[in-house]
Formats: sequence, structure tokens, C-alpha cells
Amino acid sequence: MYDFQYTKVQSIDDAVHHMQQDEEAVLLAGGMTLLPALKQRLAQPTQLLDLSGIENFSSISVDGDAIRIAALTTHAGVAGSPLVQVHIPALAALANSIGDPQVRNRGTLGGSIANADPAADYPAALVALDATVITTKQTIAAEDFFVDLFETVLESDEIITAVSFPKPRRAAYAKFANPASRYAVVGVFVAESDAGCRVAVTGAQGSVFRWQEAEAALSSEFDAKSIESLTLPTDDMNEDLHATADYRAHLVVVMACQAVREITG
Amino acid sequence: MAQVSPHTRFGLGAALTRTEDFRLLTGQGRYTDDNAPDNALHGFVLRSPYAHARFKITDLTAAKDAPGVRAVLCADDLDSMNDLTCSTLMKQPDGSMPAPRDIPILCRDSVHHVGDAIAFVVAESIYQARDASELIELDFEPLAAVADTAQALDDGVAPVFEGATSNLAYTHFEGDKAATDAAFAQAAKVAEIKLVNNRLICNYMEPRACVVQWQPDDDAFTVHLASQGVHGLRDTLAKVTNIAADKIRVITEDVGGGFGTKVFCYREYPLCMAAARLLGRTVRWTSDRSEHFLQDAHGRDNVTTARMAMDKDGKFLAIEVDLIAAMGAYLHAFGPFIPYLGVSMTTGAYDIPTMAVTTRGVFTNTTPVDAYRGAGRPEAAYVIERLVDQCALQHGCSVDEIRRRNFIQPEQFPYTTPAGRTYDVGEFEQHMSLCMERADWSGFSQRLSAAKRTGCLRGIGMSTYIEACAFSGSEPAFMQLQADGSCVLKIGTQSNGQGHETAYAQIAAAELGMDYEDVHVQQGDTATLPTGGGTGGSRSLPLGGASSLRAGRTLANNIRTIAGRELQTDPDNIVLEEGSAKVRGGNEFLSLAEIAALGTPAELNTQGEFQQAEATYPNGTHICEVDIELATGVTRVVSYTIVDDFGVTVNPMLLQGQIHGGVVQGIGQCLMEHVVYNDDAQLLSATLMDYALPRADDIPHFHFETRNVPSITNELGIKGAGEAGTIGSCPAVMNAVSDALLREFGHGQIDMPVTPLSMWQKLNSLRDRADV
Repeated sequence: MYDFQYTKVQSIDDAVHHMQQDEEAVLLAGGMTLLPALKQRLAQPTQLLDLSGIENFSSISVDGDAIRIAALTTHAGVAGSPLVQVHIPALAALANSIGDPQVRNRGTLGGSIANADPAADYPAALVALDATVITTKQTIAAEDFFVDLFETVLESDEIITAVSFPKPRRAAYAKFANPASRYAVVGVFVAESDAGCRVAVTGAQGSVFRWQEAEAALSSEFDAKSIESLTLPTDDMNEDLHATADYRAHLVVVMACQAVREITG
Repeated sequence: MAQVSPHTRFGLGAALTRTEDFRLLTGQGRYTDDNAPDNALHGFVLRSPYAHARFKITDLTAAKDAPGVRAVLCADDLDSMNDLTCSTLMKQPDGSMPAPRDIPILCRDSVHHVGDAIAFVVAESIYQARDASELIELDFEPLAAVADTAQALDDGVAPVFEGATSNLAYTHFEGDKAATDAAFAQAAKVAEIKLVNNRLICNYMEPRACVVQWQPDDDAFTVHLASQGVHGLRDTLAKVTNIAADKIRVITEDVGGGFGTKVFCYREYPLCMAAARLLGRTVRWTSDRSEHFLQDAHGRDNVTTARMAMDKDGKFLAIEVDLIAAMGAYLHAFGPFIPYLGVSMTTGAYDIPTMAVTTRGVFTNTTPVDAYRGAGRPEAAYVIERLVDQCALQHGCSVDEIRRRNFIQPEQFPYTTPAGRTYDVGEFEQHMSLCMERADWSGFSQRLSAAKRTGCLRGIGMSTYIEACAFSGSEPAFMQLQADGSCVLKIGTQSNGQGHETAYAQIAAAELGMDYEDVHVQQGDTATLPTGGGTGGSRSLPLGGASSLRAGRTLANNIRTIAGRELQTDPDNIVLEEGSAKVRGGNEFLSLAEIAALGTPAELNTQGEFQQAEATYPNGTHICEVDIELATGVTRVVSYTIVDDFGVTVNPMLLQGQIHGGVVQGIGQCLMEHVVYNDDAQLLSATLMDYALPRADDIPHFHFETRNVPSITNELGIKGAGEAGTIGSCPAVMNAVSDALLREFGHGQIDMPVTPLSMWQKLNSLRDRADV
């Protein structure tokens, strides 16, 4: 890694202050993406602002009809939370499927969604559950938060403080994992709530997206049979060593059916 | 699980736990990097980002002036060094020897693969060295590159070496062309198969490393490095650096995996020697995982067409093989020898009267290829075992029936193959039958139906492999009774994690009637060991084990002589048990510490050496079942059964570990591992984020047992087992995959690795074909 300055910030305001002072500074949450990037010399920040010293930044609480998860909560924290397990078990299961125990005990919800890796798991949950991202500047619907490959609406001095997940009636997440990295080649989160059915897909394109055709089909009949013969256009699908665009498009359908079957039993 | 002789406490056959495990599992292992003093300088190799380019270093000033930098070495600074040479050039059909393509320690004006070494930066910290390497000013002139083995010889493909007329490194022929042609001319049927044996990256846990100290007083070096044997490396280092071998002490302590890849001398070792002498400081270098992918020799990478001539009864008449073997961008140390070693096992466990095998080694702009666990023998077993299944299909009989008709029969031993190898013993049909019984081969159809109900195809496949181990030669063992009554056993092989400390100790301890934990095995230091052949080719136990037994037996005889002298009785009257020498039927005894005080140095130091004239031939049957999920293309190994013949088992627990690990590597090659270069010869599978390795949840439970037929070539009957798992596994897995496809579609050919993507594409094409 290249040389950088390390600062352990004391509060969110302190972190914002440093970000305003130093445009090349980056936030360090769990570091599960940032640290490997630094080691490989793919990133060269002037300063790391370590958030781990901020108090009460990893709490999980009930907030009306939603579960509010503070940004620095680890994946293991989400997976192991009795509140999440009771109210949104699919979210707990998703968190428990990220990486390996080491990653789950370091990586954070806020860090993951700020990074907006197209193959990350959380974006599918946020969008399908119609979650709200709470930052130091705004409260924004998840669907509007994710913009593109590694790109969100976050400004350079803006920090995610929490995510609020409305409790769904029922939900499930199915992932086809990359055989090497175990990131999502395709991950599909299906959630049903009073507002209807939402199907969000991660891994397949540059950014998470809602598969509205499947949502409509499932809204009329919530059964895997309703969607199993649907197809997706391959134009915007990602391609890499492990999956071509047409394979990804195919896997979206297979994973969506798997998630629906998990719900319907 | 193999049988354990209940009466044997420590000797051959005892399932003893490993003496080294407490040390290794509690963080007390001592690996190469652990030997670096805090003030050692760090070396960093600047490597080529291009697969093929001319280059000029235009300015080193900024790098040399960078903070902490002590030296920047380029090719010009290494005039006194020789290139790394290939020691195994193969004679060509016209009798000529091919031109060598040696590996420069640092490239002079052109690079030939991504990762080729350009400069060596030495600094107080690794970060300073890496920072400075980015300040080296270079002009590159990129040239056309080729990565694909099958295309390397095509017309119009860019030559890896400028000015060369083709990428043909060499041609080698083994067999009898006329006899083979004649057999094919009279064949009733011919089966043919085309196979790609995918390129692999070793990925041992411990990356390579070295730590070099220079002693100015006598211009001598102490080189700690991660190896598979110190003596061969010392001699290569002497040749490369033009420094006398007796001025180079090479030490290897604990090693986290070698698999053949750590046998060799790599550039960083002489570079650290040059820097240590230049600067008068200890210099260390440690590979990171990315460098491992780019610099350490790769494995496999063959493109093969094989044909079998059969008579009307399905009896094999002749085999013909056309093998294109990737060499990479240079001829690596054993590069051309690896396919040759495979070719020498072309006919497998079958009685095939004649063969004709043409090997063409080809250059590509890729990391050089060399030994990787099995080293040619997995490639050979893959070809013959896949071809034999194709023969069954062609002839219209079952895969076990075609084997029964063609196995070398027990009464044919000793059996000399068309490649000139002489197998001593073998009962191939018997272990195949036992393995089929263990795997419930006859009950497969029920399992097939059950799998279909879950949306999966199921296939079953076998391989009845044979391989060659140990080879001719010896590995002497040196024993010494210590003052405290314990023993030291020195031997020139090198444990890479297999459990040598336990295996040798249990063989020697049984002779001495002492606890195996009191026999301390020492390896890996040229200063204390006169010779050593290192570890490779599954030779350590067949050769070293027999020598250990001899050294232990001689020492035991000497102890009886000393005790008889002191206790005034016939040495034959002395028994060694519980760490002491006792008078048979009496109360008198001497402890081994007392013996040590009484013996002469000649009595207390013994040597054992067993010389073997021919290789040993482990063999066995692997049976695999796979499920192929139709919706996703995911192929899973769901059942795996092994019945092996290793002659004699030293330690069933160590053996099981060897087989499990080898089979997992084979499953990895079949379903996951794949080195992928793009058309510009850039390595795409360059990290573990893209290069998939098998994990515990990819692997089913294994049923493993031995049906041993002792070798009559080896003194202890041992055949060797270090590589067998990788050799038997790939054809078994791929024959199972092929079987699943054949049953469903009537066509089964697919190459390794069968990734979810490649299988999904295959399923689509097979369905399209069925529609037509």
C-alpha cells in the first residue's frame, strides 16, 4: 500500500469535518473492500478516517413498522440480531451468506452499500424491502440511493448513519455465488408487503435493479410458476470469466424462482 | 480406512498422530520468512505488465534516490550471473537436441510473459521498495503475444521469441510408428478423443520466500528458502551465481506446501544473494499471492488427441497420441521432462502391444510450466482413462468390461510396457471389482432416478489408474544416538507438510524399541547433511523410509553390541524395548543414555541406504458420482470411493491425508481451477477472486481403503502415495460427468474445468442438438 495518514474520528461530525478539510480522505468502516484495494495499490487516499471509535454506531432497533440498523453494524451483527431474525429473517440469512466469518465480523452494512459493489448482497435487500438510507444530509429511498457501478448519490462529505428496513410480510433471498470469490454472480431478493411484491436483483448489472415484470406476475399469483418462463434482456448484463450475459439473465430467473419457492415452501 | 496391524505399536502400519502437529498447529512452525532479522532489507521485483515487449530502462535516478532505497539492480548489474537453465531437453526424432530457452535472472531488453522480471529494488521496507519500483522509468514497445496452447503452432501466430520461425520448442517421439500404423490398419474399431488438460496454479498456503545472509570474512552465503530439498537448490545457485557450492549453505525449515512447484530455483534467490553481497546486509524477499500467480511455475496445460485401435472383441491393439504441451515463455527446469514422464505411462494398466506418441512442446507468452503434483502422470492417466471409456462406448460394452478385457493380468508380471517401464506387481481387476462393490455400482440406477426427481442429471465414472513413483536412486538416512538416549535421524528429503517427521521416526523407532517421539527427524540444511535428493515423485517414503529402516536396524545392532559388551552377554541376548537395552529374560538393562555414553562414535552414528533400480507403480480405482443441476449447470461431486494399492502402508492416517488432499486437487481441476489468459496474454484469473479453489463444502465424504499388493522392487514393499490422489481423480470425475451427459443426450464430451457456465452452455448446445 501507499503511505497515508490514519485518523480515528471521535464522532460523525468529526468525520464530516475531516472530509470537508481533505477531499482525498476516505472513510474506513470494516475495510473489507478498501484494505485489499490499498494492499493492491489500487487506491491511494491521503487519509483514512476510521469510524470504529464512534459510539452507538452499530445498534439495531425497532422503529415503528421498520427495523433500523445503524451503519457500522457488521454483517455478523445483522445475521445474529434477534430483532432481524424475528422480523426480517431473509435479511438475517442474507447477512449470514456474505463472505466468510472473518468478513462478516469486520464488514459493515454502511460500508457495503456506500461501496455499491455490483456483486454485493445488501443492495438487493435494500431495494426489495423498500428500505430508506439515512445519511448526514438526507433520507433517501434505497432505489434512488444506488446509481451505478460503485456509484451512489452520496456526496464527498456525506456519511450513511443508518438504514431503515420496513418489515415485509414475507421475503427470501437466493444467491448464485461466484465459485472463486463467492460474491453474487446473481442475487435475487423477493419481498412481499402491503404495498405489493418487489423483486430486486444484484450482481447481474452495473447496479441493483427491480425486475418489474416478475413483480407484476407475482402480484397476480405469488408462485414460482408465474415467473419461471419469463426472460430478461441480456443487453445490460455484466460479463466476466464466470458468467456471460445470457447466463446471468438466465440465472436471474432461476434465483428468483428459488427465492419464491423458499417463501411458498 | 486402511488396516492397522494391532500388534504394531510404532512400526509400519501404525496410525500414529503426527509429532509435528503440536508445533505447526500452535503457531510454532518456523517458515522461511520467520528467519529474517528485523533489520533485513526487503527486495521487490519489478515485473512486466506486458506479455511481450521490447523495453529499455531509461532512468533509475529517481528510484535510486527514493527514501530507504539501498540498491536497484538491472540485468547489467548481473554480468557475473548465468541464466536459469532447463536440465531436461528432449532428443528430437532426427536426433538433434532442441535449442535451449533459458530464463534470464533479470530480462535484458525484452519480456516474454506478464510478470517477467525487469529490476530488483532493495530498500529498508517493502513499501519503500515498491514505491521506488514505480519510479523506474521504462520505455516499452509492446509486441504481439500468444497465450493459447492449441493455437501456438498455427500459421501467422506471433512468435514468442522475435526472429523465431515458429513457437515449436521441440518435438519428441516415443514408441514404434510402423507397428502402430500396422495395428491401426487392421483394427476392427478405432476410438478417438480430444482433450484439454487445463493449466493450473499451485497455490500452496505458504508463498515462496528467501532470506540471504552474506559473510564477508569468507565470502559465503546462508540462504534460507522454501524448497523441496536444499542440495539441488544449492547446486543450482552455485551454477547460476558462479559461487562455489561449499560457499553456499541452503536451509529449509517448515514448508507450507510444495507440490513440485517449490523444487526449483527461481530468480529471487540469486537476486537476494547479489544484493546481500553488494550491500553487506541480510536481504529478504517474500512472494505475495499475486506474484505467485505470475512467477511460480504453472502446471498441466496439454492439448491431446488420442486414438485406440481395437480388434473385434474390444481388445486394444495400439495407441496413438498427439500431445501439445505448453512450455510457457521459457523452458523451465524440468519443463520438457514433465510431458515425457506422462508419455512413459501412456498405456496405463492395460496390455497394449504398441504405441506411437508424438509430443510437441510449444512456447506461449505465459508463465513457464513445470512439475505440479503428479507431474505428467495425471495428464497421462487422464488421457488413457478417458480414452478407455470412449473405447467402451465405441465397442458397445460397459466401462468395467472393456477394462477387464484389457488389464494386464497378474501372471504377466513383471510386465514391460511399450514405453519401456517394467511394472513389478498389480491386481487391477481385483481392486476395480472391490471398488465397484464399495461404491454400489450396481445400485446406480436407483440413485439416478432419485437425482432426476430433484432436477439433476447423475453420472458415475471410474478410473483404474496406475502411476510411477520413487524412481531409481536412493536417499540415505543418517542416525545418531544422542547423549540423552534420544535419536536424531537426518535425511535429505524435505517435508512440505506431509508428515515426514512422524513417518521416518515410526519406521526407525520400531527397530530401536523406542517411542517414535524420541526420534527427531532433521532435514533441510546443507551444512549438516552431506547429500539429499529432496522430495518429489512420491519418493520420500519408498526410498527414505527404506534407508531409515536400515539406519535404524544398524543402530539397533550396534546398541545390542554395546550392551552385550557392557553386560557381558551375547548381543543376540539383548532386546530393545521401552527405550532401553535389556537382557532377555533377566533384570539387567542399560538405558539408551547409558549406551550413548559407552558406545564409540562409529557405533553411535549409522547410515542406511537403500538403492532402488526401477520405479514403483501404485495403482487403484477411483469411482465418482456427480450431479449436474439442469437449472444452473452446477456440477457437484456427490459420492467418491477409492480403493488403492500402495504396496505397504506406513501410517494410515498420513496416507489418508495424502489421498484426500490429492483427490481434492483433482476435483478442483475438474470443476473449478482454470488459468485464463486473454488474447493479449494478460492473466485474467490473476487472484483468488477469480481463480476458484475447492473448499470444504465442495467436497463429499470420501470412502478410502487400500487393497495392497506389496511392491517387490521396493525393500519395504512401499509404492508411494504422494501424488496418486491427483492422478486417479480427474479421469474418474470427468468420466462421471461424461456418463451423465451420455445417458441424457447421447453425447458426453466436455473439457475441464466443468464450471457452472461451461456446463450450462454445454447443456444448451446438447438440447439444441436434440431438438434438431
